[in-house]
Amino acid sequence: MNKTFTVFTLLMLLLPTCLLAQVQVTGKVSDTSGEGLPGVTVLVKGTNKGTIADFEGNYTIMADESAILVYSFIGFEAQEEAIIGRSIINITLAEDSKSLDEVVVTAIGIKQQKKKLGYATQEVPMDVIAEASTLNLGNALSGQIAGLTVTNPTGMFQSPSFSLRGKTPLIVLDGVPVETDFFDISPENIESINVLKGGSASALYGARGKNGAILITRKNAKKDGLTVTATTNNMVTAGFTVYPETQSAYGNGSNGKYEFWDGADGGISDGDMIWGPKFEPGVLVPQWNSPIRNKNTGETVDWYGSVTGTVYDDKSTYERVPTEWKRYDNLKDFIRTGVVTKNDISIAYQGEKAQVMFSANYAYQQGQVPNTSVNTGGFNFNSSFKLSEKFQLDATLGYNKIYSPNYPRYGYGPKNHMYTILIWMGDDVNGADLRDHMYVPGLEGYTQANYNYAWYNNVYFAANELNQVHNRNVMDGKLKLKYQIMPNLYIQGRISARQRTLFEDMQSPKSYMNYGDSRNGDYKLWNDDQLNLDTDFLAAYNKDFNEKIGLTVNAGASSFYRSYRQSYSSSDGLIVPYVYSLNNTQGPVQASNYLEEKEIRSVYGTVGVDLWQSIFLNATARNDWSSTLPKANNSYFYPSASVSAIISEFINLPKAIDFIKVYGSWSEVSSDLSPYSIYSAYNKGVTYGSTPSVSYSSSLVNPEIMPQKSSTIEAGLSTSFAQKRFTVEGTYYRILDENQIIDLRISEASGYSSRKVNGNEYTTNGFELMVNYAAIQKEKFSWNIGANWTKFERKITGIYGDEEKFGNLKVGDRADSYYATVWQKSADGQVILDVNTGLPTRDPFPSKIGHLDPSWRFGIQNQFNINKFRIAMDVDGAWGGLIRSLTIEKMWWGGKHPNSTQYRDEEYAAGQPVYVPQGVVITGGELVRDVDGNVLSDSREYTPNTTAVSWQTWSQTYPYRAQVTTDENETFANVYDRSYLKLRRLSVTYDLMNIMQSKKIKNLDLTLYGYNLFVLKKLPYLDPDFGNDNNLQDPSSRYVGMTLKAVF
Amino acid sequence: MKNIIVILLLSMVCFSCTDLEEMNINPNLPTEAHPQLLLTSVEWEVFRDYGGTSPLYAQKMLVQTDGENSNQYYKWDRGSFDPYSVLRNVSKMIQEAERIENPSYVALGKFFRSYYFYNLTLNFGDVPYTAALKGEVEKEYAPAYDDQEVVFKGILKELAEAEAILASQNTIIAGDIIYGGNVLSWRKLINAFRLKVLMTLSPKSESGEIDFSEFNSIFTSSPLMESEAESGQLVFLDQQNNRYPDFNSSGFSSGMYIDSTFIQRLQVRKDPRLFIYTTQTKSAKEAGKAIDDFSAYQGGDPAAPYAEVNEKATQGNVSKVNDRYHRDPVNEPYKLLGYSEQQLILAEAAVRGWVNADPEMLYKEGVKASFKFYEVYSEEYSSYVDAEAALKYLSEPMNDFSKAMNKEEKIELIVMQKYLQSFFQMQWTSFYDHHRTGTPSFRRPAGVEIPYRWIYPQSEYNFNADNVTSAITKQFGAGNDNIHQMTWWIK
Repeated sequence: MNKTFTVFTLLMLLLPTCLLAQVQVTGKVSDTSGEGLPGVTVLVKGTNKGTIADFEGNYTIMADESAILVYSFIGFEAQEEAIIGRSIINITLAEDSKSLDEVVVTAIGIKQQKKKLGYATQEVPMDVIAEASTLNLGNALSGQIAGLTVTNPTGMFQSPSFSLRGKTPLIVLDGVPVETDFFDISPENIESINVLKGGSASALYGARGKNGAILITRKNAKKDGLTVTATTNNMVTAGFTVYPETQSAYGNGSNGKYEFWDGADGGISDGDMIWGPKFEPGVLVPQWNSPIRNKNTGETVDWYGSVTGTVYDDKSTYERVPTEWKRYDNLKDFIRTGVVTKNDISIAYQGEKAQVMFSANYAYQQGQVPNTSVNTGGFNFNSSFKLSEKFQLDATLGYNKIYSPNYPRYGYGPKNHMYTILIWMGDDVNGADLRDHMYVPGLEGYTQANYNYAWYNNVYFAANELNQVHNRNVMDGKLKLKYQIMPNLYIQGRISARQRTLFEDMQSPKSYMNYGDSRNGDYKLWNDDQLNLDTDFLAAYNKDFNEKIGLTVNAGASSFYRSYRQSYSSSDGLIVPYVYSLNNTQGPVQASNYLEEKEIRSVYGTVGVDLWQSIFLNATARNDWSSTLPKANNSYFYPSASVSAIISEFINLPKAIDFIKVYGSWSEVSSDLSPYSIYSAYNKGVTYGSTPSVSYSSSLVNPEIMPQKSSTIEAGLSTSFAQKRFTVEGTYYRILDENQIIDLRISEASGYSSRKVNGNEYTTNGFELMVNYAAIQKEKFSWNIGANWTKFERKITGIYGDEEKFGNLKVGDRADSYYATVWQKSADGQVILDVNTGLPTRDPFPSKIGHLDPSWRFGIQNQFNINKFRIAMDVDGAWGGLIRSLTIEKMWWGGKHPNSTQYRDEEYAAGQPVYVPQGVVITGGELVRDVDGNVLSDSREYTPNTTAVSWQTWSQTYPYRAQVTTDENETFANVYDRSYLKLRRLSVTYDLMNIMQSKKIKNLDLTLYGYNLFVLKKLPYLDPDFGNDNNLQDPSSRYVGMTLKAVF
Repeated sequence: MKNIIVILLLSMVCFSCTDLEEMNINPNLPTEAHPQLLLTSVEWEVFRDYGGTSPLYAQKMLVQTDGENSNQYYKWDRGSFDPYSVLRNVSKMIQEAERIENPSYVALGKFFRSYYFYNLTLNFGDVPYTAALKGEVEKEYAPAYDDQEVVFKGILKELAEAEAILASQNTIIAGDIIYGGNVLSWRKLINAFRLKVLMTLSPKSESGEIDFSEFNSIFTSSPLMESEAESGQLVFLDQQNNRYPDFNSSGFSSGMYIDSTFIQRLQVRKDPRLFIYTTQTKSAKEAGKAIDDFSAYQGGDPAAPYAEVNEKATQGNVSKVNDRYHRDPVNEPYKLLGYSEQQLILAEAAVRGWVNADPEMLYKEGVKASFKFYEVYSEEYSSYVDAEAALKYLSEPMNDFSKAMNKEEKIELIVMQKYLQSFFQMQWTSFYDHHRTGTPSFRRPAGVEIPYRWIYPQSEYNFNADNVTSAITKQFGAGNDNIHQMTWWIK
């Protein structure tokens, strides 16, 4: 990064500035009716000098007398006018229908005019994404597209996941479907991202595209001559948008007491829990890092961790010298500043016969967790050659590498630093000592020093001594040959291959704790190799017969082949510490491998008819043959049809309305299975000594399984007002999923847990709304707002075999209904407590407490132009839905929850329970329910509870062992409303060439930005943008950064 | 040129014209297997099935101090149908055995079926039995339930068939990791299990619903285990995936302590197995007490709120599970049914007059065998449980069989000895013995009753609603699927 930056700086300083002869030009800009047009931008061509016309359309500008002026305004065709010495230039701008004639990339790379599309598509504004970079290209799509939900995990190297209209969309790179987590795609390389939402949009990708597609097109040269672009992007974490808060008043222990001996209940409650003594001046406690004293001689020795296995493990002679019981802010100390630096350079050349673009990128990310980093980089080559008048050859080649010497581990368990620090480590533990003394003295390499030996790792030991390597190479190449047989007819063939190889290993040191794993150290390695091969052929015919009718026909065939190979081996304990090799194994090496292959062959075609250049009919058909389905059912056909009409061509509309387009479509898509799932096989079982075994799968296969089917109908309207100042597009869609391939749960008494069937019906109803408003257009200030809003509900509308229930779901239930384990309640909803213990009892019937997905989501993109500064501000959010928090549950149990301090002092002082929970106890009668949970009879009688309960017991029970919503109890809730509003991005861009001049540098854009800046939410301590909290998440970091992009 | 390109383009589409169907044949896994491969995995599952720590809490051997344990306080609700999942592999083993016409595996299959259905019916009452496990072959996805009586009779019949088949076999059974394929050893185990099933049905000995003469005929004319070495048990190996299931388990290091009633039972009987099962309390250890000092051990009250026990543990006055259970990679074998248990069953039968034998001798053999087991497998402590220690133990007044005055006292002594050897062994055996004989008693908070059973799984409510509803209605009345309902065997 630094080198590139230095070069720029030098260029800026060295380049000479020069002055030319200037004239003043004035004039008026009008529309075709003669009205003055306010807000028109007038630019001196080839510079960034310009002005904006006033309210009457008048303008004044200084320019070189030989310059050319460029007039542009939203909704009008730009016009150029040479000054040729004139001082007054009046001009009339013609309205354009550009936004309607806009061309977008659709399925299999076919470019289409947007006006002809009978379904919803939406483009992602690329400028902001490129300027204000994110850790992963995927994150940048958050809130940009109506109907596209991006969940953004907070940890390093965790990839975002996508849901388009509730389903996982296909990712298409340069026309070829790919499996990517986006770490192998540099945002700088992206020309455009277009999201195809409906089924008909993707009918041509076949089964893979059944859920819609995100089409990514990489850059190629687009300007004549040579263009060199260099970009450097640097960002750092600047505090946290969401930081989990914990109690900081009490340390490790239980019932207010603690003393360390072996960290496994050998001292006083030193095995678990943070219900220990309060941090108060003068309190002294024997701790894990307290020195050891010989009771006889009085000699002391510094010691860290357990004494097990040493001479000091003798309480009759040795004791730990109590040390100060004080608080450390361990999470804050542990997490360091994250840094991301990315550099991209590209060279593009466009000549008469060739377009060539070569780009290279390298990015380095230093994680917030110590000893973690990720390097990504690659070379990409994109080209297009006119071999002759009729032949065109497109070739791309890419090599991208991702290498991480070690990255953090997430999930709920001792491998995760958050599991340890946030939930299970009291603030009494001196983190700096954990860092500086990772091993027990004299047992280096063998035994970690820690405050606990039952459940947790020394978090610095875990971060530094366990390493997992991720080494991925992705190569992709594509060759496309196009032959223009006649002006109206071309054929093309395309081969693309993408190979991904991945090596991963895990080096676990001796004494590393991971539940039942070996404590003897471990070495595991994985090798993955995946090849995707896509081949297709397309013929396209296009003819406008006359003004009234035009025809487009495409026909093609394709094949898709995928192979995946994995091998895995692992040691059983290590002989010598630090040597991570299978040769260093104590027991026999375990190994396994797996191979999977799949192929789909397809033919497809489309017919498009244009009538009066304003009604567009389109039909597609595709047939697939998949290797994964039974032979009798392996061929499946899916059609689609759409219509789009520019109504404004037929009826007269008020002047304020620019145009109205209505569209509608119907489509049907099918999909197949994963390989090898139509017949049963034995799996490898345990090998006892040297005796092998097999076991049989618990899922019943179905050799007669058919492809599943989804049909979508969609209707939409788009319009614009006031010369495109205000545009609106609305879409309604309804998806009917039928014949779903489901693993139908069956009675376990059948010997099997599920069987594969075609069944169930789901209906999704959704709305999407996209609005664009040029709110303010003043000379020095303009403000453009883009907003999108989406709402959908997926309901189960039919159950296999007309059964009453599918799992917990009943017909008409939302598919995302949340059936939870809750506490038993009285008929009027009060928690029932045990008469003896004062504790609640879990209800054996799951209860529906709401739904998980938000009720609606929205995103707003603001663009301001203030003087020559471009400012972008993106906000997005969600409303409604429930989120269950594992973090909060565990914080209660372990004693780290901020509210868990409430009754501690009072109870420890009283020496007996003081907290009387609110609820009722049953005094008689009983509740009888049928298997569906319906009440048959309820004769229960209650009286209010008066039993006091140990506060620790209550905290470890009520908010932990069943779901409690905020409606039920605000204090003890572990299920919250998901609603949030996030300031996703704020960026300011300025072209430094406004204040500098250079013949070499065309643009030098400097962008300062912040990402993930601020959030309003109902869920405490955690970021709901993460998706779910069934794992433990890192604090949600705020990023600030700087991008400098030079175009030569 | 033009033609070449067209041909090239067209041929690309047909890039790999392999057979699609062939491609979908799984290269990684077999579709047929020798029954021996299934036998190994079934044995591994069956013999490792000690029920986890749940029965230890319910049977007053463990107490939990960092949460309310539903087994300890008898607050459990639904049970699990997981055993059917192992039975799937048993069914496949029988199928593969029939395919290659090897009846030994069919016989062992019948034994494993009996073992699991015995547990299932005791857990719930009526369960799917005759219609069960036919999901693949007969497409029976929601099997009907059978009366518990039918299940028990079926078990006894299948066990008799298994014995009969094996009696005519003399080839080594391949894949057997328990007895190395020895047919006679298997017959002994199966016959011992027949005795166990019949003894479980002792509450029915007066009603005439079950033919108890079978017990005597097994005793007199079928082979039975003759020494501790012949026990049906799985020995663990110090090798990945073959280690003792609780090896390295974190649960043992915190929050899990020994129940005071269990410790007291061992203390009053001067039972040295106490030293093998548990640790000294922290305070006793610090006071330098000897391992065999009975006063060095204390438990937590299972009926008190767990916070109180935690308090006592904090003071260093509660024993924990002996380290070897989670530190020793092989520890001790799991016994599905040991020689010791067999002799105690026979002793009880002798007291009941079902067989003509000396109950005192059988009782003593049972106790000695248990001592022998620990002498062999807990080497560190073997001196506390050698043959001499066993004799001394048997002469303690509380353990002296000759001092038992009547049938009840004799049965109490015998059943208590089964209980005392069931630490991390023998599943729920003592729980059902309690319901059958009243021994051992289980301490619990006032007003809490000991459940008889578990509620049927939610999955049955969801996926076999009609059949489970009729089973509930028939046994307990509509909607009365609760843990305090008695089932047929105990009525």
